[in-house]
Amino acid sequence: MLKYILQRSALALAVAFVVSFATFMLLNYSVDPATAMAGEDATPEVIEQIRQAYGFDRPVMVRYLEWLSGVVRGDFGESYYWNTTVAALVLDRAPVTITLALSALLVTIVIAVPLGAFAALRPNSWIDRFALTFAVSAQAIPNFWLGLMLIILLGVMFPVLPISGDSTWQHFVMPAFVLGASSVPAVMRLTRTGLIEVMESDYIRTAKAKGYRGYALLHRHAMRNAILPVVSVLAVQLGQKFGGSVITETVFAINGLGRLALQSILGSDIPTVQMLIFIFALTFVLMNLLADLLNAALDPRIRIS
Amino acid sequence: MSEARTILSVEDLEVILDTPAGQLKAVRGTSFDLKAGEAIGIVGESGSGKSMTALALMRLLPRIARTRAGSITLDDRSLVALSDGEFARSISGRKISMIFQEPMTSLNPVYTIGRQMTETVVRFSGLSRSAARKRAIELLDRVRIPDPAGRMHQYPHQLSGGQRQRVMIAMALMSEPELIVADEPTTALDVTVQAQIMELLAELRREFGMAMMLITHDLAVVAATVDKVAVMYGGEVVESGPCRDILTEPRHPYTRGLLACVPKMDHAPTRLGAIPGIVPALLGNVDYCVFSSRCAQVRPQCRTAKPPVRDDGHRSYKCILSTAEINALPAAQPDEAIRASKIERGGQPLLEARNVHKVYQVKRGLFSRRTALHALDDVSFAIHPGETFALVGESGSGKSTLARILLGLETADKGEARLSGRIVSRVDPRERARLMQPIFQDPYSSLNPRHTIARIIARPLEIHDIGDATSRRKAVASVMERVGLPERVMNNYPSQMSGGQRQRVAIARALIMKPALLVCDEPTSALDVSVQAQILNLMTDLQRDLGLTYLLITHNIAVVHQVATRVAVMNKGQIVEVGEVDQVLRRPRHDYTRLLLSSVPEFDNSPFQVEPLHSGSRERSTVGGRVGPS
Amino acid sequence: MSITSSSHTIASNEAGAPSPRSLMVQRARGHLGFIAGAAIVLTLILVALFAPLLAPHDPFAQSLANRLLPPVWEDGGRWEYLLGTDQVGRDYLSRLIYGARVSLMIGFGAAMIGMVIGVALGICAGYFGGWVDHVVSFFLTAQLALPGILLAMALVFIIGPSLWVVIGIIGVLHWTYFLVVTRSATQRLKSQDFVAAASAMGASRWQILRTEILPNLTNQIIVIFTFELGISILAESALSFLGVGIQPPTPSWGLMIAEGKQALFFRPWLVILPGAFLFLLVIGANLLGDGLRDVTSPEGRN
Repeated sequence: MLKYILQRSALALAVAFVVSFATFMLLNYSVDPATAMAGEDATPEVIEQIRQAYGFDRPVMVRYLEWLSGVVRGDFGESYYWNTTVAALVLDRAPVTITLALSALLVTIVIAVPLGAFAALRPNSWIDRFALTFAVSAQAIPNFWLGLMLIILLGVMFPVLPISGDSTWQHFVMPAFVLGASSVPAVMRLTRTGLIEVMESDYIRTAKAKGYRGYALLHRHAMRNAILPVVSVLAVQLGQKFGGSVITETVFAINGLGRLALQSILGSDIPTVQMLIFIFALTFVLMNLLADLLNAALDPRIRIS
Repeated sequence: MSEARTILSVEDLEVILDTPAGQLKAVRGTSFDLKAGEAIGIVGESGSGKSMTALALMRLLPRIARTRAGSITLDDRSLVALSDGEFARSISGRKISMIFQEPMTSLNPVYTIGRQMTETVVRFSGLSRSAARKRAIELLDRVRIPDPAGRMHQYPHQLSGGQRQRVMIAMALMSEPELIVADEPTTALDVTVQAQIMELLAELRREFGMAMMLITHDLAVVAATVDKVAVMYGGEVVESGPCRDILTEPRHPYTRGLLACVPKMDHAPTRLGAIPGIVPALLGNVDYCVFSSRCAQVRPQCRTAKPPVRDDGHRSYKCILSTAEINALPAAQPDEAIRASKIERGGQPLLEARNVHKVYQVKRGLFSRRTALHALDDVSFAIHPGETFALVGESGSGKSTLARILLGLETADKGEARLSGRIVSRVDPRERARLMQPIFQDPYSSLNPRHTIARIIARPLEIHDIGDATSRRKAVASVMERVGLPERVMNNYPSQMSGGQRQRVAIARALIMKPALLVCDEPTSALDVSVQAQILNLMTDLQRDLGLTYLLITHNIAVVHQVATRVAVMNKGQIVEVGEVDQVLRRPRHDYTRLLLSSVPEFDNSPFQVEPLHSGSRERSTVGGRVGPS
Repeated sequence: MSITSSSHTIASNEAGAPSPRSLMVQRARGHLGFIAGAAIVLTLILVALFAPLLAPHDPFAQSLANRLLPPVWEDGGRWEYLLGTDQVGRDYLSRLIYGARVSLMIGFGAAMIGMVIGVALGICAGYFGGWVDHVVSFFLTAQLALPGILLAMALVFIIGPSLWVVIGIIGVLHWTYFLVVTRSATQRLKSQDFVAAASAMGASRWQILRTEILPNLTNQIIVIFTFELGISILAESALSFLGVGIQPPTPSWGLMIAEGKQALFFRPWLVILPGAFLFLLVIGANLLGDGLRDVTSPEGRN
C-alpha cells in the first residue's frame, strides 16, 4: 500500500515536471517572447531592449532551470503585464475559481450520478432514453453559448440572477451550472455503463440467488463496485474544471484564474500564462493522485496485493 | 430412498426470449420432479436450454426473458404465485441455494469472504453475528479450506479458483437449503480439482440430506454424481429417467447419438459416432420434433407433428419410434478401430524439444518483488512422422507455453526446439509454415472477423506470395472440400459460422500449405461433445489420408486415449512421464499421472481401470469418481 | 451464460445467416439517431460545399444602411435579409452558411491530425507493449494534465491566428481519445489467436498490423473520428469566441457569437442563431457517432 502511494506520487511528480518543461519550451522557444511582448509595431531596437531587460537572450534551458528552482522555492516570478508577482496574482484570484470549480463539481454530481444510476437500473426505459438524449444534447452545446442563453433567460427575460461579477453566492449559480453541465455527459454515461456492468456481473447474480433484491441489492452489493470508476472520473473532471474556468469566467465576468489567464494571454504576459498552465496541470495531477488513492482505499484488489 | 417425499416439482416450464428476429422459446414444456435427497442431472449441449431452466427456477433470467410455468411446487408450496419479492425473501438463498460456473467472478471482489458468507443468515434468518461467524468457519472447515478463521478476513482475489468454488459451496450451505442448484460447478476448474469438488458435493448432499439439481454438459460428470437424468435438446427434455438406464441404454435418437460421440476409455478407440448438422434456430412455434433436422431415423411425420411422449412409469422419451423399434436399430457408434499402425521411430524426429527452459519474471501482487516462475523446466521429447503425440496437463502446467515455443512464437531461455533437425527460430518462415501449422482452441478468436472464409484460408498463400487469385481460389475450394466445408460458405464471414464450422476453417487454413505437422492446442475443448466428435473424426481421417503428424495439447484424457499414439504428462513445467498411450494410461508410473487418471470421471459401468502399481501408492490416486449412488 | 450470447449462437448456427454487412445495414435502417445524425451532418456538408450558390448575399459585403436588421419574423425584418444583418450590415444568413465551411474544415482537419497521432501511438503502444507502452501512457497522462483550451489559446495567440494554425493546434491537442481506444483495442486483438496464427504462418509484423489488426480497428476509429469532429468544432468556436481563434472578418460561428454578444440584450438573435447552428452540427456528429457505434458493434452499446 505504501509502495503504491509512493509509486503513484512519483509518477504524478514526473508528469508535472514534464508538463512544465513542455509548456516552457512551447511558450519560450516556439516564438521569441521578446517579439511577442513588444507587440506588432515594435522596432528591432525595442525588441532587443526587452530581450535584454528580461534576460531572454540567455539560453532557454538556463531560464527553465531558473524558473523551476523558483517554483520549488515558492517564487513564481514577476508579471510583466500586471506589474506584481505572479504569486500575489494567483493568491488573489484563486479562491473564486476554487469556489466555482467545487460548486460546478457539485452540480455535476447532483445531476449526473442519480440520472446515470436510474438509467442503469432501467435500461431502455423512458428514463434511460431521456438520460442518453440529455447526454448527447449537453455534449453538443457550446459552453459559452449556454452561458449567454442563461443570461438572456434568467438575467434579462426573467431577471432572477445577477449576470456578472462574483460578489454574492447568487453570482455563482449560473456559472456553476454552466461549468458543471459540461461534465454531466461524461459522468452520467460512466455511472450508467459502470452500474449496468456491475448489475450484469456474476457476483450480483450470486447476491440475487442469495435473496437480495431491489434497494438492498444495490446498497449492499452493487454500490461499492459501481462507485470505483465514478470516483476516478469525478477527480479528473474536477481537475479539468480549472482549465474550463477560462470560458465560464469570461462569460460571467468573474475575476478568477481563468479570466486572469485570458487577460495575460492577450497581454502577452508569458510568465503568468506559464505559471497558470502549470498550476492547472498540477491540480489535475493531484486530483488524479487523489482518485488513485481513493480507489486503493475502496478496492481491496489494489489495497492488498 | 424411493419412499421419500417429492420436494420439487416443475410442470410445463417455458422460457420465452424476445429477440430482434422474433420470439424464441428457449425452454418449452419442461417438467421434472425431485425427491428429498435426490440428485437430478440436466444434461445438454450449448443452446439446449439447460442453464435457462435453472435460472428460470431461481428467477435469475435477464429482463428480455419471460418465464411461464404450469406449476412449480417446492415442499407442496406453489412458487408460481409468489411475487419476486416474496420469492427472494422466502425461497432463494433459504430453501434453494445456487452454485455457479465461474468461481473467479461469482464472489464480490470488494467484500471479505466472512461478510459474504454471513450476511444472508444474519439478515434474513436472524442468526446472531457471532453464531453466523462460527457456522461459517465450521462450513469452511467442512469444505476443506485450510485456516478457515483466517480466510474469513480475506478477499476473493486472495484465493485460488478451486478454493473460491469451495467458498461458494460453503456459502450455499449456510442456510441449510433443501435443494442446491449447481450450474456447471466444475466446468471452469482443472480436472483434479473438478474431481475433488464433485466428490465434496456428493458427500455434503448425503450428509445434509439435500436434493441437488446439477446442470452440466459433461455426461461423465453426471454418471458419477446423480440419480436421474433429464437430457435436453433445443429447449426440450427429450429423454429422462434413472441415470444408469439412460447412459447404458439410451432410447431417444439424440441421446444415443450423444453417447456415441463421447470418447470412451474402456476399450481400444473406435471411430466416434457423429450427429450431423447443427442445432437449428427455433424461432416461433415448434410444432415438430426438435431433433428431426439432424436425426438419422427421421420420418416425414417427424417434421409435421410433435412426437409422442413414451412413458413407462420408470423413464420416458419423446420419439415416434417405440422402444422395440429403437432396440432393433444398429449401434450409433460404428465399431471401426482407428488406432494408427505402428510408427517407425528410427529416423530423424520431425519436431523435437531439447532441454527447453522458460522462466517468467512474475510480480505476484501489483508491486511486490518479481519472482522467477519456471514455466518450463528441462523439457525434452521427440515426435516422429506419422504419430500423434499428446501433451497432457492442467492449467499452469506449461503445455501452452511449450506449444508457443515450438511454433516459434516465443523463444526458449535455454535449450532448443528443432524442426526437421534445425532450430525452429532459424528456419525460414515460409519453410516453417510448410512444415508446421497451428490449430488453436477458441475457434471464435482464431479467425479474423473482418475477412471472408476464402480469404482466411488463402491467407498463408497470400503471405508467402504463392500463386495468383485463380489458383488460390482453386486451392481453397479443394481444401474446403477436404475438411467438409460446403463451397457456398466461401464468401461468408466467421460470424456466420458455427463453432464446429469455424474449427474446420482453421484446419483448412492450416492444411493449405500442406504441412507435415499440425500443432493442435486444445482443438476441441471449446466445442460441444457432438461437434468434438466431428472434429476428432476429421483429424483421424486427415491423418490416415494425408499422413499428417499431430502434436496434440490437451487437458482431456479421453481425447488423448481416442487419438494419440504417445503421450507426455506435464506438471508444473516438467514432463513427469512419457510413453505409449496404452502404457501410460493403463500402467502409470508417476504419482501425478495416477492422480490425473483417477480424477477423470468414470463414464459407465465398466470404469476405466488403472492397474494398481504397488501398495503404498498415494491415497489421492483413489479419489474421485466413486461417489455416485449405485 | 448470458442470454444474448446464446441467442446469438443460435442465430449464427442457422445455415445462411445474414452477412455482417447486411446486418449492419439492417441495424442502421432501424436506428433513428443514426439516420438523424447522418442527415444533419450530410446536409451541413452540402451547405458548406455549395455555400456560394446558397448564400443570398456576399458574406463580407457591409451595408451601413442595413445594420442590425432583425430576422424576417420579427418587427422590422425584411425578406431580403431572412435572418437579419449584423453590426456592420452583413447578411446574417450568408455569414452563417459560410460559417459552416469554417467549422467543418476545422472539424475534419483537426480530427484528421488527432487521428493520425492517436492511432499511430495507440497501435504502437498496444502492439509492442513493454516500454513503448509505458512511454506512450506517460505522454497520455501528461497531455491529459495540460489544460487544453488554455494552451491552445496561448499558442494560437503567440504563433498568430490563422485557419491553418487553429486546425493544427486543435489537432495536436486532441489525440488522446483516439489513443486510448486504439491502444486497448490493439491489446485485445493482439492476444487473439488469429494474430498468433498469422505469425505462425510466417507473416511479418507489418503484414500482421496491416491485414489482421487495422481492419478490426477501422469501425472504432470512424466512430471516434465522428465524436472528435464535434469536439474540435466546439474547441474552435470557443477559441474564436475568446478572440484567439479565427479572426474577423472570416465568418466563424464562434466569432459571430462574440461579435453579437455586445448586442446580446436587444438583438439576442445575433447570439442565438450561430449557437443554434453549432449545436445542430455537433449534435448531428454526436448522434452519428453514437449511431455508428450501435450499428457497427451491437453488443458494445456505450
